Amino acid sequence: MRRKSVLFVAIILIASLVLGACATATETPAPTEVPTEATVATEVPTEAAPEEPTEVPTEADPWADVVPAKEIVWWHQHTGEAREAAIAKIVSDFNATNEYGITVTAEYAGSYGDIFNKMLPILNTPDVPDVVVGYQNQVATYQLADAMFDMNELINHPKYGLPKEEQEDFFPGFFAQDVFSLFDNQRLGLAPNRSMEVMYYNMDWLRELGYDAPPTTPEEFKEMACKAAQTPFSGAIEGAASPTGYELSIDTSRFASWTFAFGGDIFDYTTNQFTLNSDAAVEAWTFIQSLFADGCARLVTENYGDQTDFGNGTLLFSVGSSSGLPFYGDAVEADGTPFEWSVAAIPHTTPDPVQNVYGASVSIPKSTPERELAAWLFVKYYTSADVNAEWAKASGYFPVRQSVAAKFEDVFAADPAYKTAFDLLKFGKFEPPVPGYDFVRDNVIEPVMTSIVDDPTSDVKALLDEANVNANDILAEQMSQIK
Amino acid sequence: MESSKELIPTKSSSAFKKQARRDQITGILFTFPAFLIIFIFGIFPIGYSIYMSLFNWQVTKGPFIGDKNYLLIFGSWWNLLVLVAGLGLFVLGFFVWTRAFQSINNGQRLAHIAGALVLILGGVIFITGWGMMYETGNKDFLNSLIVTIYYALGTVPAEIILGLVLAYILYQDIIGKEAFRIIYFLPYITPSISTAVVFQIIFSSRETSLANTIIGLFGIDPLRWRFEPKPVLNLLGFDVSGLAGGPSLALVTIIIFGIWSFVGYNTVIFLSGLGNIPKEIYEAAEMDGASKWDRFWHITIPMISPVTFYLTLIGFIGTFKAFNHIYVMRTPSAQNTVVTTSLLVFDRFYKANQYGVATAQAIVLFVIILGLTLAQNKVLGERVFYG
Amino acid sequence: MDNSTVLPTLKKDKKESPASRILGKAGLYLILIVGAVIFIFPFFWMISNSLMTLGETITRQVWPKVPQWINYKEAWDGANFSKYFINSVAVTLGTLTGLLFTSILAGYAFGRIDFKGKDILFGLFLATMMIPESVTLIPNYLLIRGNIFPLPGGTWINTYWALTVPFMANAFSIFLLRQFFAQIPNELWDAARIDGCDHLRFLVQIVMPISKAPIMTVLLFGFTASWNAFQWPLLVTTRDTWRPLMVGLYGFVQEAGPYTHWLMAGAVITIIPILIVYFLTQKQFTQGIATTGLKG
Repeated sequence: MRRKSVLFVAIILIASLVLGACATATETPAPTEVPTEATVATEVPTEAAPEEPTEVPTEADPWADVVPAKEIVWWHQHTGEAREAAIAKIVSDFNATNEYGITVTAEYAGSYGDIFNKMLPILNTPDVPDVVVGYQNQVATYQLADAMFDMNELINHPKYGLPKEEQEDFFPGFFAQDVFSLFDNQRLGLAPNRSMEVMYYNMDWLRELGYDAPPTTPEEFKEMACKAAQTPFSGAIEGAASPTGYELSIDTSRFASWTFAFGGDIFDYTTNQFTLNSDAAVEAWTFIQSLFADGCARLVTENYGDQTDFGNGTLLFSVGSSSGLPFYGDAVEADGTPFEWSVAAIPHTTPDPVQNVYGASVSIPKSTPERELAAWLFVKYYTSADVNAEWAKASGYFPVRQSVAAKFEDVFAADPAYKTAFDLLKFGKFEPPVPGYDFVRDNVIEPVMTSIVDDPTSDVKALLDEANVNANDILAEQMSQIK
Repeated sequence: MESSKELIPTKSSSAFKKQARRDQITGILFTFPAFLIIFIFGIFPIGYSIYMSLFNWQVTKGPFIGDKNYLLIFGSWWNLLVLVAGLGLFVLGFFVWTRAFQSINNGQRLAHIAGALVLILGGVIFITGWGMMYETGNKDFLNSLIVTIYYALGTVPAEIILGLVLAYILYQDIIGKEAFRIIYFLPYITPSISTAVVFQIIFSSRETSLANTIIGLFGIDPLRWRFEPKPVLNLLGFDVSGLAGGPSLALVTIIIFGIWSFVGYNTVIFLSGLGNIPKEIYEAAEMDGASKWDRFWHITIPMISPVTFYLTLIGFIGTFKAFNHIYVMRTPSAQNTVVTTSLLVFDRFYKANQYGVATAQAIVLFVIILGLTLAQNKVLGERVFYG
Repeated sequence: MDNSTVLPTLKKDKKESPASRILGKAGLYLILIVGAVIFIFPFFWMISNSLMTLGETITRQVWPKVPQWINYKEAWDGANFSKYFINSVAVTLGTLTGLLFTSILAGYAFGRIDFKGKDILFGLFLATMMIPESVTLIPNYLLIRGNIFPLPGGTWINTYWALTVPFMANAFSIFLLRQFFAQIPNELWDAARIDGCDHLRFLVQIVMPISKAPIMTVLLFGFTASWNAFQWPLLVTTRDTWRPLMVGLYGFVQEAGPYTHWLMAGAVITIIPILIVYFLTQKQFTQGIATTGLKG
């Protein structure tokens, strides 16, 4: 019986192989109606927007007969009561007031990474959401499959577009970030918010240690951090954890931030190659390694552990996104013994601060013209001045419009830390918006960060050299997929 | 079946045939729904996986690339051949050894020595093949195999031994046997996602975590548990790095979690197995003066060997298939020291979207499991004592 | 009966004094209790931490001063637990229905009907128990998305179909029921056949009512597998509203990072149903595995 069943299994396997081969004749991830309008030249506005190539005006308006879809879905990654409430309000206001009867459903779809993982297999299929948050490099990866809607088709549309004054109201840096030279200057996103990496510091503790201002250079940072590791904060929670100067979370944005602060970059835009082993990166990470080696820093133990420890008064410095301001505030208030704290620029070796500015934009995956139009109308609403002001206030992100920022006096007055961070925007630098960056983050940069800090004797330059090779390999593989 | 002969008068052959045909139809009909589901979702995918592994399949089907995905794993077919040859020689040597061992004749002693030589030769060739694969093949995949083996070796023997010990104790007249059994079985029945949450906190790398507090009582410094990629031998002071140093502390933490989850299952099964051993054998042995230990070692162990064999078999297969426990306890800090093969395949599929490579790896894993099962059947199966 | 040739030479045991016997027994109990403590400790910890304030969890108290039942409400609201629950319940019920249907029929056929191809088919089913999920995962995913065969409804991603249909049959349940059905005395069948019963009537009217125990076992195992499912639902549900409990919990754990008390409350919430089922049916459960576990 044994032998017979083995034979039978083999036959079944071969049969299913053959079946599979035949069946795949029917298999295509059915991209339903990929709008042919996507290839039609964009509408020419009477005033050309600065970063767009002017096109010859076409005869008919492909959007003339398109009726926006009635129901669209927005995937976001926002958590926390304040942001979720703000989103709910934005969405319900839009649903109630838009003249096309569009109903938006906002869905929490996981973290940025989760959303990225979910999007990849469903690109160019009807399963895609209509509006999705994403970092520029993620959108670049999507666009390798030609899966994103080029907003240039609608941004200058006479009926549906964004008037010139509105376009110019955006901070130029943010506005330009979503135009991809790699893909013929298509606009694949619009920015609703931005944030940047800042250094959180416990001012009361600093005073106890004998300092009256946060560090501005890495040497000062190290000095203060090491002192803190020896000298607990008087306001620390009993029995929480032993004091330490800095807690590093293994996140590529930290890698970039510290490299920037040492005057370098992780990507060279002239050669289009990663430079994870640039002098600045090596210097920065040798510095961080020394912090660990001297016992002045340790790794974050669980998600948002640095936030908790900071709030408990057992962590002096933390580096993280400015969008965490409200959460850090909560953590400090949580146990009833608040202390004075604020944020400052990352300690830098350069004359001026260099801050890692980032933020996901909202993008529109390709689907049907009806859905794309409806999605665009929502995106327009979401980034409009009043809504942007509401959103920035509630979420702790920075507004993306100059007019909004001009009206933020009260917000700044109420939250000096926010203002401090906001003023640093002009020193902004960005992580590379290249396809495959997410893979490089996960598979190359984060492991090498761990290797560097885990073993104080490891050779930082050698590790980064190897990492750089791997990163560029991934980049090459991704770029080879550009149609 | 005398009664049926009396009740049912002799039927003509056509009636029998009719019944047989009806049975045939009914049989096929009854098994059809199950067959449909099992075929579509259990068997067909194997063939389709093989099919997919022959293509450059990212998210959508790419061009046909034949065995390229497999070569990515092995480096070259020659490497695999060398490895398998080494394995084969090793097995051959084992056979020769065991055969020769049984006789004391001088001529056979030569075969004994020959067997040992073949064994060593096989081992050397195997390691050479492995080294070659490691050079040119997929290091991640090969590492994951080692990690899986560590996980298997760490969990299965412990689960068997602990399970048997606990079952044996329970088997003595113990008050509250029911209650103990219920408690021991609890970890098995509760979903690992939920229980992992507690283990994450207990084995957190904070100094105040429970695990660190306990080892602190023995004067040991706080460890990083789930986050620690260093091998345990390293931590004990030996200077070995990489996977040669044994499982990493992070993997050991996961092993502890695995053992905690599955010992109860083994205990319950052993307990019923013990119940099947006739008490007379014990009584007879006791009358002959056998001590408790003797009774355990010479009666219980052999008599329970079918159960042991079964549990070992499904234990090993289970660890190669294990996913949930490891996935929820994994941290980026532990790097690839906790990535077993099933996790690797999942990551390649879900995160990297390389379907072709992932299916090739899955097929190789499947073949390995098949091989292990056959091997276990042969090696351990012969030691099973059916009383 | 002379056993001395069967067993190797044994030491003659010293006469056990009552004291040493009691000591021995006490030692056994000690081991059992230590074991029980180790096994149950994480549960205790989970419950106690779920009732503490955040401050108490940070300072590692053993027991909350005042049980914070509100943690459960906050955890429940913190994620979409109500939806996750409904999904898990619906999926489990659906899967179990299908599973019973296929397993009872197939188990009966294998156990009681003689038909050509029976052995091969059964061997095939058994063989599937060895297949790792990794091999079937990816094609099944494509299958569910409608990429291999056209499916009614286009794609089954984010539907209950994807979560239930693939699990509506498995070799283990069929095997379990076959063992039991095969042992039903043939006289019953002969008598029924004389009365004009065909297999179906016999199965439904006579066999099933007396098969409560193995059917219950199949249900229990199916329930556990469905309730605890994680990897597959993670793949086939991309929208939060379709996720079953375990996937929802996983997401919640990622987000609630340092908020131990809510984490624990969430975990307890997900465990309660299966604990209830287990305590109500634990006798059948352990009997069920025992009977299958012995077939070497």
